[in-house]
Amino acid sequence: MRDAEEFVCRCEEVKRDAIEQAIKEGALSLDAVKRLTRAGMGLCQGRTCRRLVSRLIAEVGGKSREELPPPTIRPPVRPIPVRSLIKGEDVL
Amino acid sequence: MKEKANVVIIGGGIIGSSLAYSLTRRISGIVVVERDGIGSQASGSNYGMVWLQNRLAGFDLMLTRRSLEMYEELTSEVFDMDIEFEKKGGMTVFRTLEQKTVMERMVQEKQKLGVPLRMVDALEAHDLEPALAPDIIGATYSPEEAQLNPILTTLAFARAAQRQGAIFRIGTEVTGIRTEKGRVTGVLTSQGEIEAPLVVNAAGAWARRVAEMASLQLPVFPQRLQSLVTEPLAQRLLQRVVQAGRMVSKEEIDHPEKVMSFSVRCSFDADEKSLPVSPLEDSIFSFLKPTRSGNMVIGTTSEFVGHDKGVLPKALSLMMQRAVEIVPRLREVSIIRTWANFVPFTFDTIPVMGWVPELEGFLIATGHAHGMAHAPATAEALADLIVNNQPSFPLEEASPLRFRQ
Repeated sequence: MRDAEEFVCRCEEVKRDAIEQAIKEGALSLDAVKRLTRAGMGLCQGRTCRRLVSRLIAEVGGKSREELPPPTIRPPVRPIPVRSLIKGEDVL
Repeated sequence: MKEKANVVIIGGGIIGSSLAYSLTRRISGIVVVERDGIGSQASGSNYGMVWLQNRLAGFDLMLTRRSLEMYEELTSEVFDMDIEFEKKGGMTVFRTLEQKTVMERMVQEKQKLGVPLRMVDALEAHDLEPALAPDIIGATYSPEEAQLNPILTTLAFARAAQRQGAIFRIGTEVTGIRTEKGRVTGVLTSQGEIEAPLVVNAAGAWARRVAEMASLQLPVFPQRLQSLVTEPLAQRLLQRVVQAGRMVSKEEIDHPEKVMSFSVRCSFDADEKSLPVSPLEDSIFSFLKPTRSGNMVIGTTSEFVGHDKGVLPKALSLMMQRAVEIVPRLREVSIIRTWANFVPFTFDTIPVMGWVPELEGFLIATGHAHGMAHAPATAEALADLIVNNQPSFPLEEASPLRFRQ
């Protein structure tokens, strides 16, 4: 089922129609969609929604998925407790 | 066929986007050329501060005040999206008597200039922000300091400009500046050539490279700022932005005239070797910003490493240590993202705005280390300079010619 109300980015609660709207406005990369909608900025940092968003960019934006620039993935890969970071544990 | 424009703006950051907006209110034929995406560099990843207490008396404060007024109007009448502009206030906290002495002096100076700022004691500081560490003995406080969401602000300017006819060429990298007999005739890009009698260098931390394409020297350098952001916090730890007062030395107290004076000599041909490099520990300026989404943004370092965008575990660790010293409960949370960006550094910390005599039609609009605080007024002044050859306020202090001594 394709529902405009379905969550694509669960962490930031970004719905499908918001992402499609951003793509229609010219956000044709994962980073551009992120900047406009916050999709991929939550706890999982896009690990869940990255594929879904690329698929939407391909479908709605008329780009092939191979054409999309790779997203900027910033450390850390998983949330790290501040305690570990302060202790200088090898967290990144 | 060659594309033609009246003005080509290089850089789709906050300066380029706001200038495109101000120009399209006056003239047509505005093309913005952007290598990556709108606000994809510093404009999309900074702290979104429009603060008065950190600004220097003179041009810096004037530009910020004008911009602050303009944001009120822009948010109510121009932008078609919410940029999260809010006057939430701000505090600079301190824990030593030496810092207090210097802060008191700074507050008095700012008050004379009409900046709404005052000292608060430990009791009031903790009353305003109960999560502050118990050893904080006081703070400066202003209820008027404003903040905004920087990426949304950049996008809002770009959209307003587009509604008025500006064209944004995204994913288009400038590869050369076309000139003829001492005047600019256009730009070469990765997507072809654009003819234009006026070209604006609004390339931020890359502006020096763009100037070099036109055989011009421009002493503007990338300054790296590393940052972190926490997970969204169930309970807000802070109500407003809190920053740490600088550490001060005894010499500074005995010689107050040295406070906030930037004595670094600037010259036209300054290079990396002239930059004021300090050890990582000393380059950290602690800064905590609660965002609307519930995350806490934490900054920052200030480093000169060229365009190396890496983040350093040591820097992140130090920044977090300092942040926890201000708000101990941050120890309980997690970090979900870290990043680095580059703001354009100038030796006197003032932006560079104006024509260069060597190349007619080439305008410099960069060096805005506080782009969010400076952009709206910068854009208005430069649009007036371009269209009427008369800026709406004097730009001598920001002149590119000041580097030529």
